[in-house]
Amino acid sequence: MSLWVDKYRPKSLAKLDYHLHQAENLKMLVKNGDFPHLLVYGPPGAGKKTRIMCLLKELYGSGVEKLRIEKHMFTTPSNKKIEIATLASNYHIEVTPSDAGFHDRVVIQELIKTVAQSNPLDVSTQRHFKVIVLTEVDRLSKDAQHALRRTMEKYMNSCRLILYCNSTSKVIPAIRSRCLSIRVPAPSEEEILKILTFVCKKEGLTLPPELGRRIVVASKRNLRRALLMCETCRVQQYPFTADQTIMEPDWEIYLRETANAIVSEQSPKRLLEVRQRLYELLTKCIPADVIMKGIYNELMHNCDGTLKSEVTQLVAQYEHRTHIGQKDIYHIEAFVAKFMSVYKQFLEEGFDAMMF
Amino acid sequence: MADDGFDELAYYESQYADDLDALDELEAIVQSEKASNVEIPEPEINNITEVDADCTDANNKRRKLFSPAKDDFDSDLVIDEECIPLSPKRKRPRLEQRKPSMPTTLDIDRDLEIERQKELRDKNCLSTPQMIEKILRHRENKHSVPEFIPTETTAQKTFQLTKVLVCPPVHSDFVSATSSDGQRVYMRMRSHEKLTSVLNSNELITGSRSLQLLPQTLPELRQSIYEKKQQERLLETQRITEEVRRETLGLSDNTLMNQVLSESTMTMDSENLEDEGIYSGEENSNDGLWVNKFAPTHYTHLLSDEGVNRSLLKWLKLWDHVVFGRPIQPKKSQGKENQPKQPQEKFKKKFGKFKTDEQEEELDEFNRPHFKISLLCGAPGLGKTTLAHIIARHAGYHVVEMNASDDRSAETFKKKLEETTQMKSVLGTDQRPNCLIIDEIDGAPQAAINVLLNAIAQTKKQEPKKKKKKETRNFLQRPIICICNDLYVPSLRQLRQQSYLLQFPQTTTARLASRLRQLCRHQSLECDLSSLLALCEKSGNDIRACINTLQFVRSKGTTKLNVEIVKDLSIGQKDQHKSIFYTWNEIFQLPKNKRKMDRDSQAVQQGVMDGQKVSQFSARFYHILDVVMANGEYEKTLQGVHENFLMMKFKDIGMTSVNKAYEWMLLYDHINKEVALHQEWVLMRYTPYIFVLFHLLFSCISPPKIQFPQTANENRQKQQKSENLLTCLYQEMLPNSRCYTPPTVAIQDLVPHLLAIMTPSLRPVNMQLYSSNEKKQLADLVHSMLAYNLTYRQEKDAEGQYKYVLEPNMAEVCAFHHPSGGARRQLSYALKQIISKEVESERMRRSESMMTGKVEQKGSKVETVVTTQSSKQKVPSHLQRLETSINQISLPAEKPVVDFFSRFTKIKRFDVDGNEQEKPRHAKIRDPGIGNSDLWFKYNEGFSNAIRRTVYVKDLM
Repeated sequence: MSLWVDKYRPKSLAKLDYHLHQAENLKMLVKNGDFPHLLVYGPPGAGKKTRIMCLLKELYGSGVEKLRIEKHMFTTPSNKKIEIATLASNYHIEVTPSDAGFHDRVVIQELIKTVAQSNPLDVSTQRHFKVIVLTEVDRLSKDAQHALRRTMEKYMNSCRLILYCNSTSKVIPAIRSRCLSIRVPAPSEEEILKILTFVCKKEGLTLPPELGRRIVVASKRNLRRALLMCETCRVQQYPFTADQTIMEPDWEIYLRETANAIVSEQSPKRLLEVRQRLYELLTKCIPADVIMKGIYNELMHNCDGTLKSEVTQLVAQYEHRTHIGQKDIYHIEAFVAKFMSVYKQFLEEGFDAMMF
Repeated sequence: MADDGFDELAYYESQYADDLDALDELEAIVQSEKASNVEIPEPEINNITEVDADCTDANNKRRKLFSPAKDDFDSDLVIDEECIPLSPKRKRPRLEQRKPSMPTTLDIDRDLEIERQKELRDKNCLSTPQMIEKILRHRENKHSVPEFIPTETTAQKTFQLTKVLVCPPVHSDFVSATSSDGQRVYMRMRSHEKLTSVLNSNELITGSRSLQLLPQTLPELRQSIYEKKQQERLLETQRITEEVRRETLGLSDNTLMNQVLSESTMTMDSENLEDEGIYSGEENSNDGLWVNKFAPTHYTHLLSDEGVNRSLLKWLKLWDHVVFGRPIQPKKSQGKENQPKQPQEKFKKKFGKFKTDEQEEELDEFNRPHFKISLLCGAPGLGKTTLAHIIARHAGYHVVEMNASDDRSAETFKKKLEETTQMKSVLGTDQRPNCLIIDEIDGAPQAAINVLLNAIAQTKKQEPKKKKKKETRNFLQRPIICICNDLYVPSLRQLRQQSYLLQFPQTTTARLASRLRQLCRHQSLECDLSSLLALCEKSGNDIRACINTLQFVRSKGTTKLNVEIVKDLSIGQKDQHKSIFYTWNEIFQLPKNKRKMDRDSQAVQQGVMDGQKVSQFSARFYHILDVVMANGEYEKTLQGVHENFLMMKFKDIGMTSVNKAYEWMLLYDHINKEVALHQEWVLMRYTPYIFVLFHLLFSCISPPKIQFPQTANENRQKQQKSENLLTCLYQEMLPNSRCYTPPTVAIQDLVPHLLAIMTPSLRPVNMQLYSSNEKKQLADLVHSMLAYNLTYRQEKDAEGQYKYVLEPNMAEVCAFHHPSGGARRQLSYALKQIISKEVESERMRRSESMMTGKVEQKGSKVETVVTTQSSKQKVPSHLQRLETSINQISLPAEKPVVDFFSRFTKIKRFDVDGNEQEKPRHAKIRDPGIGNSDLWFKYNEGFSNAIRRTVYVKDLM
């Protein structure tokens, strides 16, 4: 436990650094020993999981920190065996159903059923319910989500669900309405800076405020990333200097280069090169929507007002189609091709305007 | 004896004569034709004997019916069973027939008969008019004795017949029987040979000619009718050729037509011969598949390529030496060629790829051809199977066929192979050696083909053994012909190299068309040449398909075949499995030959038929659709299209067409997902249209360079590998770190940074020399590596150098190849070594702390293991060692027993048997000295002088 991210992670609601008001509310929520289903959402690196674990600790005590890895076997209707690894303590179980691909419905139904049907033996010392934490709910298939909504109500008296995702837009409204939604916003830049300096102080290091600020900007308000960047800086060069390089993940650099390639030339030949790069990204396990979003973000720098809205609409459309399709590469390429065409037109118009 | 035979025949005559009566009104014609009978050439005799044989057969059968008991003897009973009534209706005429042979009642008649028979015998051959006279006379006789009493005759007959004896005959075998009135009678038995020899003698045959129902035998009649038709046809064909010649002048396909014409005129001469072959099948034209009916029966009728026919026959003939034991004739010629062969050898060396016939003709040391198996391959319907059968028969083999409908598991295959190649039918009349034909071998499982390969290989291996004359049993001595459609099936790979390959070329359209014309003529189906040509083209020169189509057309009642019918037919069009490259080529290339495309595409023809104007675009549309659908592998086709379409030369302003293509690709993808997810197979039908779009957008005139799509697969494999690495990382990750980092986050944020963190700027010196700060840094690093289950592992690379590799190698997943970024900072070998060592020791420390926790718990329960914690005593270790060594010295005093194994065990056993509980007490008594020490030893079952000591990892470090 010695990455700074893990080392300085608050373990209880009382020790949280920011969103203190929300922490207070959470404390009140579990004060009387029970709570409704929760849907925790927010951008990555905002502290969703930390808050969930703190909440569980508040509820069950330090027992929830004794985690173990369990493997569950599920059999699909087509007799295919799926093995899902779960993290479990005595009081809760955490699953990522999207690991099962499009068989996630089976996982959800079977797992919740088995967990909910085994009542705790000793009610006096324990709560009368168990908690199931479902991660990455936004990656669940529609089938699974529909399966979930009935199950949620049915086993209400023996288990509570904590769903957790980045965006609620991919969670069906039926589920959203059954849960108490808790948004965990990304920490503000000041909060991140505060935490960074605190951590450095604890480590016996001095962080120059300029570097801290640069790290905060580079991290895009992702606390996890900010801490990792800070630690990387420490490893690469200490004592810190204000203008030292901040490491970015390789794939982001690669993505930026790809976006530049798209902007610099629009032709089928260039599209072919871009395809090669996209394949490279996909083979390194970068999800398609992340790639699309990354490209979009980079492309935005080269678009003006009207084009911006057009491209945004496009990217939304193609991203949606990625989810209803199978082959990611087709969809990303299609987006790139479409952008090329739109951008080319835009450039020609601009050129014409300049000429006349 | 011979007399009796004649008697019987005389009765046949009378019977036939009787039948002839029924044909009285036809007599005039019959007479005239009898006259022509004389002219019948020699071969007809065979037919007559056949008829005769039929007659005897019928009689035999009848005999069997009436005297089943007697039938057991292997000889014919000469009994006049004519006297036994067959049915009430027939009774009277039969009896009447009988009468002339009864000597007592009608002596004159009998005399007459005998006289006649003598006449028969003397003259040896009878001209027909004489016979007619005789028949007429005979008939008169019959009519002259109508007042005879039937009952009487039956009673008397049994006695008065010379064949039926009252006492047993002396010189020959006999059969006894009891007559209706209780009298015992005896009948002579005559050997079968005698009878048949009598029957077959020429004399009788000529005599029996007049016995025919018809004045001429059926084949003769057929022949005469046939000849007439032949004449007519000859005239007609001449007329048609003229007609066609005139017709073709107006047609575009001039060359093809001419070819057909020359072909047909050529075949005209040989038509007689060929026709015989073709039409020698069944007579009735209504039933039976034409394909079977008109299947060639002789080598000369084969439609397949002459070269292939010949080479297969040649190969098969090479087996003659082994199979029939006769040396091959070409050897002589080879001998002659011996002198001029040397320059040829040189030539061969120069042009190694020239596989001359001589090479193929070479026999191995067992006089077998070089290739033991021949492999025929080609599209369906070219006549491969027919060829194999005919050639095998032609070369004098008995054909044994195995095809896909047989069980083709390895065992049955082997059994059958052995049966056919090593055995020979003994019982059957067919004494010819077997030739195994394995049809449709491309569908056989690999195991079965391996058996076949073994059969070839086995013989090769056993060559030395053969010299010893030990095992000649498993020696392949019969030719095997394999037939397949697809030569490049993976399972055939090895077989391909070891067999004599014969690729079937397409049957020439002209030849096939001319054959079809003959067929049509025979089946009275009017047709013109152009329609037949169209049919051939439509079916891709598939003989079977063509004939089947013709039969279908004919069976619908159509008597005239024209181009419209052929084009209109939805049948007769084969799903041709063209290669996938053909599909891609068609998609990306503008059509060259518009006409051909039109012919191909049935939908276009439909349009033409309906009178709609078909534009070129829609023709292309349907053509591509047909091609893609015939191929069927949409997924693969799309992969190829996807990887190639951007490389095509197409005009695209503003990339609109590319966008359109992508729109369709996304639709295709969506459909596929729906199909996979909800089994909505009905949607599949919309998928091939995407290729039409690609064709319309991206096709170009120049032939496209198409690469086989591999990138998709390669990348999928790479992705799989990355995913596996990720799961590997996650499997051993500590639950606490795992809890907070979902895999997607790990890939995007954590691992890249962790890799950077893992390259600390430490000095590559001995760890002892590190400052406390550095030590802390190293410890931190080791902890975080352990938390995420990472370590460095020593590995030998390709050059044999050792290096440390991250395990699991996440660097591979997260490192991107980018030219601008430059190489990532790498740790030195020494540093990696230090880190990996530290990680290992830390891991051991952790596992031990977990273990000791467990051991302590166990130790309290298990008595036998006495553990003492050295840390409790807090005695310096060197002191402990001293103490224990003293104790150890004290121990040997009781140990002399150990030197003698047998004694020792005895004592031990005694101890155990005597008092089990005393032993621990003993131990306890001696314990005060040893118990507190670090050393102890313990007896398990048997004997051990091992001295044990608990050592912790932390003590060693």
